[in-house]
Amino acid sequence: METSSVTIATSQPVAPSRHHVRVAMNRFFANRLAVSGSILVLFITLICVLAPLLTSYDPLEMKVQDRLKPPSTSHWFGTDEFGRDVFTRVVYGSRISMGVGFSVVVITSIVGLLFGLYSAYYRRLDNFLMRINDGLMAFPAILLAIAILAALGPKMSNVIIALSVVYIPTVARAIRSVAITVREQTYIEAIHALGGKSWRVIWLHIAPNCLSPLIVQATFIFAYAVITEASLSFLGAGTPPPEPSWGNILNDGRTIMKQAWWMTVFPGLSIMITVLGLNLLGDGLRDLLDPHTNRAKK
Amino acid sequence: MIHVPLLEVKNLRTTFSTELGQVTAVDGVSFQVDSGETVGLVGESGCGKSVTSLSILRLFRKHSGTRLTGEIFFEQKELLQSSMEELQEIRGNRISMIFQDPMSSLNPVYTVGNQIAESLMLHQKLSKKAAQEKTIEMLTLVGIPSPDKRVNDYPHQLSGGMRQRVMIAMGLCCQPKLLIADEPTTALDVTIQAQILDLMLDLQKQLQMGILLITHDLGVVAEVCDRVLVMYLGQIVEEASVETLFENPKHPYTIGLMKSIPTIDGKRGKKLHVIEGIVPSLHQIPKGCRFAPRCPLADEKCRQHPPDLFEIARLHQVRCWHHERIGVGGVAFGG
Amino acid sequence: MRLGAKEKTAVPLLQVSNLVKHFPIKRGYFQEKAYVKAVSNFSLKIYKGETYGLVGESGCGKSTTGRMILRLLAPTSGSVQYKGQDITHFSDEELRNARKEMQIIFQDPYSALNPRKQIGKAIAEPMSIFNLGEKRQHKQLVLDLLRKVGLQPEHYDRYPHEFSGGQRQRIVLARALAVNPAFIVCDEPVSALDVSIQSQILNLLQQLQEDFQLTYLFIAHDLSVVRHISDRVGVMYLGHLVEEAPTDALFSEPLHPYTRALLSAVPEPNPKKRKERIVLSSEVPSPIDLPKGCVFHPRCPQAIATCKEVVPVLQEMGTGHRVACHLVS
Repeated sequence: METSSVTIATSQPVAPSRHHVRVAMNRFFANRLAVSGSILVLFITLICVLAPLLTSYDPLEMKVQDRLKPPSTSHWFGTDEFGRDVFTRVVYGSRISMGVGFSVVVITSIVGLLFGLYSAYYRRLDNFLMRINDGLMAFPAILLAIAILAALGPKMSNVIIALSVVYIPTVARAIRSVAITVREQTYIEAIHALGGKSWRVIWLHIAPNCLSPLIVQATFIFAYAVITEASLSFLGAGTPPPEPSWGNILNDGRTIMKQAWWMTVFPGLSIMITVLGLNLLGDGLRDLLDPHTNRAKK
Repeated sequence: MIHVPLLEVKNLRTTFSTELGQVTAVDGVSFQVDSGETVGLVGESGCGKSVTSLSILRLFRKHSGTRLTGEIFFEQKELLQSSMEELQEIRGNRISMIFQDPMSSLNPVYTVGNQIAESLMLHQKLSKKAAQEKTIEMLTLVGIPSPDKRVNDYPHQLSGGMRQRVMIAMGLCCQPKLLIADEPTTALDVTIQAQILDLMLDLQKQLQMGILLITHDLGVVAEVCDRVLVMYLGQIVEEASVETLFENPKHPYTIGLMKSIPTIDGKRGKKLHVIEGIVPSLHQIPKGCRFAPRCPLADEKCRQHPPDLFEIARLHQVRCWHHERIGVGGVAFGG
Repeated sequence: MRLGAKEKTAVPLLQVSNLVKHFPIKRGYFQEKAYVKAVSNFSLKIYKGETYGLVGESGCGKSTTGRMILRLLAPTSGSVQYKGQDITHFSDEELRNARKEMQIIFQDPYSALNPRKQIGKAIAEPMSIFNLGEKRQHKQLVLDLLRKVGLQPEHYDRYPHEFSGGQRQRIVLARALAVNPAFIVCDEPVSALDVSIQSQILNLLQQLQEDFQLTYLFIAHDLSVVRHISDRVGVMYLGHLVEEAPTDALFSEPLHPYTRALLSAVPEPNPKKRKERIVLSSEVPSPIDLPKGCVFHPRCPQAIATCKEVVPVLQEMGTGHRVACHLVS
């Protein structure tokens, strides 16, 4: 009985749309998760874009005389066992991590949306696609990725392919469940009654209503992809050295952690900040875009 | 001895904070309900009739930004000032509530018997066995066939009408003094509605309860109520006995409502009477009389100054500057 | 258009013959198949320009019937003829073209509009589906439609959530009218609306019927609304048409015991007439196991032995007044 709530705002007719833009902005800025998450993500993205301006070193250039120098004013994060500047390698490594993450998000979003929408719309196809999905989801993400990379060979493009295959089922499943609820709405039946063809129903009516959950899901996939890419590189199955990636920098520093702590701490922190930022942003967006959790929070 | 009503609401104001600012959903509502009496609270969606009923038992989430002012006396006890514990003792025991949607008001994972027995054990301190017996008795009372079997059913196994009967059994099991029924038959078919209304009136006679019936259906009001309150945009615009209200409505809104519903007999006209426009949002409450923008009689005075409730006869109040211009049966009313 | 001798001579715009809909119920591999018998042997004729009211309580199959007539649902058996053409076996493309003529408006105006589409675009959508006219003219056509259903030009680029229920129902109407249909199924178009808005929409429906020479199948549970708007009325119970008559005849002389009970149960806004109700015992039986004989017999106050055995057929009782009951002869 305690829970019978009154939703005044939604039951009221006609409020001009500029209110809603203002309300949306207010809501975003009132959501501390979303704001701090986006600040962190923005920060990392800026580092990626501005990498050449942030450092004067070359991430691949070796200077044997500067081997394993601790952090100093000339080498902020110290140097590694080949005398390469760790700060530069971490900064350039962000391009690999974020690049892989972003590509994976784009691919999984498009393919996942496609799979999700069509299996929600065509029940026959649903059985087929979802069994494949179940099969893929039965493997732990990292093992599946390693297996695919073992077959394709360690290359950045292959890392993207492997991670996409691993995460497409997650997106497809999320989209499918939303699309199924949308499919049952009266306005979809109305379009059928108006003689609309399937593509119109799927792409002009169901798809736009799946966008909010897709955005939320994509943010989380981004975070998973960054972590999994780092893990793969750490295990030597991902981005091949000498190309810097947070994972392989970590791997380089693993054996000499006692002598050169800076080689593991800084790439590790970078991974943590990125993943934290993305997860905060994802949680925040979910609160903002999904009306159910939104209402429960208040 | 001075007459003390069972429930007396005085100048109730309920305010919510929303993202678009404060809204006052109920604004200065006062009324009474006596034992054995059925009072109808009528109005369209957004008029504040449900909020009024929820305010009586303070059924709002904590921290929802809801503010209640005014006074509510139930059996001479002030409810707005009483503690949550005291209120808990009254809810479901002295005052019961029935909601429109019986499916979402019953917990799907417990049998209906369990849910009624729980209330009995909580409020009436009955033993489990006694509670069970009483439950079956209640189910029989509300006309559920083979109650000894139905007691073990889950809500989804019952039809809509049966669920509403269970809700009523649950509401009545502690023999409340006041029953608040919020659109109890709106979700039901007419033949089932007729059964449920008959049942409620029957039980009222037996238990001498007061009933506050919230509805938008004037037909239901005419059939079961003794007195009627008409609400519009958070305020009572007219209060009268049911005969007076239907014979001699004085508020243009009440008249408009009555003329705009098609009837089951009488002449079939070509066009229905229409109240122009739509109910304004609570964020944009008109300055003068709240009904002025939709009222055919509105003039400058109406648009500038909010009218008070005028007592035009014994137990007949109306919130309109022009009530004197409206004749018997609303005939002088234009259109 | 009040129906008179017309019925006998004219060719019906829509003829529904022996329509049946059974929904299979999912059961385990080893259980016997079962069906919800939503509509049984339903026949109906609707003439051009009239409003046919179809009433019945929830679950009686009236909405299912409406959807089958537009082939939004495929019938289990039976046929629907529109202008003499059997649309039950139309190909997808033929069906698409038929839908230019036949439209539907729904009960819940809140879910009938895509929340992410501006209403101007929503109303223009049928025009682009059928490539009607030039794209450039669409906006003008939409503005005309908005005016016809009583909305303002400035509503063109607003979103559905900015409108009240009544306004949304106007938008849905405008969208249905965009293809210039001849026949509209109105599935409980006013039952989700407030009383004062209800009358606005009912008047609008009548106005549009005159302006566009529309034919309506008006599905509703509210008898007073159906009485107001319909020329003829059919009463459904458990998937069967039990009585059909011109409106005045049905409401003044209901013949079927179910119709009589239904009419007596309608609360009237007149406290002086607290009438005797015919209270029906128990509840509507499950459509999975329909009662044998007359489907109404378990609740019928006058049921006789024949009712339990023999299914009654619709018999003509006067001008256009048909009833399926053994007690009437």
